[in-house]
Amino acid sequence: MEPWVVSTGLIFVYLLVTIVIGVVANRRMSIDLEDFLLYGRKAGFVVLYLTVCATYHSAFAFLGSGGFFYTHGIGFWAAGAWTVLVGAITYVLGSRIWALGKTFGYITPADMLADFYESDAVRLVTAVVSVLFTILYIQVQAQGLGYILSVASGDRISFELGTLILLAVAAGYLIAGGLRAVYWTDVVQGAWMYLAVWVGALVLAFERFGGPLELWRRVSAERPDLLTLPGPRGFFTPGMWFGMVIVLSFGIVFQPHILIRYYTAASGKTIKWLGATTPIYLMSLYIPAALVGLGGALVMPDLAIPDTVFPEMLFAYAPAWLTGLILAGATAAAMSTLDSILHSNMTVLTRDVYQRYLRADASPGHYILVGRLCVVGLLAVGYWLSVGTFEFLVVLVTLSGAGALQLMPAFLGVCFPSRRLTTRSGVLAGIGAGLATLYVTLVGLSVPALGLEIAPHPLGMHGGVWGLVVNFVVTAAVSRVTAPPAEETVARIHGAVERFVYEGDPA
Amino acid sequence: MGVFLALFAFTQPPLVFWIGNRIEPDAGGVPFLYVYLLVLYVALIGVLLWVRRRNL
Repeated sequence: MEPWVVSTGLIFVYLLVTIVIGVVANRRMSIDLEDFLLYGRKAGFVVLYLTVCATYHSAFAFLGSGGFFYTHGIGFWAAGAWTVLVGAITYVLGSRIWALGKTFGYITPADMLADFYESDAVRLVTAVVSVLFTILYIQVQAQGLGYILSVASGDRISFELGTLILLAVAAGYLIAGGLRAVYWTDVVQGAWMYLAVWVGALVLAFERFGGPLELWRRVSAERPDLLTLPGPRGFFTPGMWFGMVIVLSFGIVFQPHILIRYYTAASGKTIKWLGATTPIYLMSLYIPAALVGLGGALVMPDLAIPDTVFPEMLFAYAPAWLTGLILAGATAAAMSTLDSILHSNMTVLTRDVYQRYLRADASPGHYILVGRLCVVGLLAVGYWLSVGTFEFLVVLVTLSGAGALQLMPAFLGVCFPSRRLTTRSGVLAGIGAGLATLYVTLVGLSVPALGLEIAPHPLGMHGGVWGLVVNFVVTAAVSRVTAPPAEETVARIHGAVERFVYEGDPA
Repeated sequence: MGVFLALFAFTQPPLVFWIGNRIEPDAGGVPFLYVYLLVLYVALIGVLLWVRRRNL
């Protein structure tokens, strides 16, 4: 049988599995908004573990990370630091977000912020930031999916058609079964992608080099420039290293598709175990990625698109059936993130925009229908964006994370009681200043009339960090001179945080 | 928290650049920087698990 038939066939078998799961989830679904949007707040540890890991690791776990090791060397091992930090953030902050969601019935990130800061403007800004920056992420995943299917089929399925098919399947099971379908497919996807990356990398390491240790020895001997910082192209400067750690830990956590997951846990204990253990999966997935990227740099030094190193190595050195299984794993990685982003954007648009401003008193069934229509709209936007451009995957992820990162001061003001309160004016001013700074420091700014020239990542520090620093300074300064939330609100919400921290789970 | 932050500091600049940024000595052929960070990451996860077990 032709290799492309095997590879493509296995991907379609995987897609069939996800469709079946979507149908089963639809049958188990009740017409209840919390069930459709938040899994009824009953996600147990195993389901939540695999959905968080599968959602966090996307197409770039297969494509972008290998490409980064290939191009910039061992500096991408900084990824271990940001994945461990995600665990700590989940433990400390995620558990408080869960407790507040459980106590006050929050469904979206904006629900929490709007309640504490007593502000519709904060709700709207949070919703816009949440959706705007994760739309970029939809594009990244959709492009990854289109590429995987076109490569697997030997270009018999075009990039555009492949993108459309996979987007439609993900949207389909989400529409059918809500977050239950997303979580159940994530369980399969999380397990499959982890095994696929490890098996694929080890097979390639043994087939081509005689094992991982021999691969490392050859890299040390032939490409030592890949094994120190800042790497062969000088990318991993201290500022970029630190900046990526901050942006790709806090920035990812504050994206709605991760943050909403905190609301869905069955208990505070579940969230804390999640925080302590998810780094095991998240960090260790980069171990095989390093083997693929660095090994690829030795044997395929002239790849036009470094992100393709993993599939190119598989096609060159692995049997067709294994390549198909691993490409299905890559598909799983991208779809597990994509379905979560589609879900979170659907939730934000339905709850924070439609329910809040257009129709407040409709039935749960009506909102579920609106949510489903939102998914169709997001599918169309995602497809349009993905067939329009083709960008370096990891850089796009960073931009996406850096935008959501600007919500950090607002969330800390809610979740960490303090005598110095953050105010709604402070939060709004901080987010605005942070986003403006982010734009300037990521894209650069040139005003010749004023003699002003700002290069991207000034002083070698990632633009996301500049944005965050300015955000914190402005938030704190404006909060000092503007009115805080009402005492009753502060007592209610900060009181709930303190009860959770000192007494345990809310009833 | 203090232990976690102290260990984490060794994974960040300037310490990772000063201490870890070298190929030698290797560990069975695996470059020093890689092993240095792997050990730290495993230790950090260990701290998180310990904190959870102590129910802190």
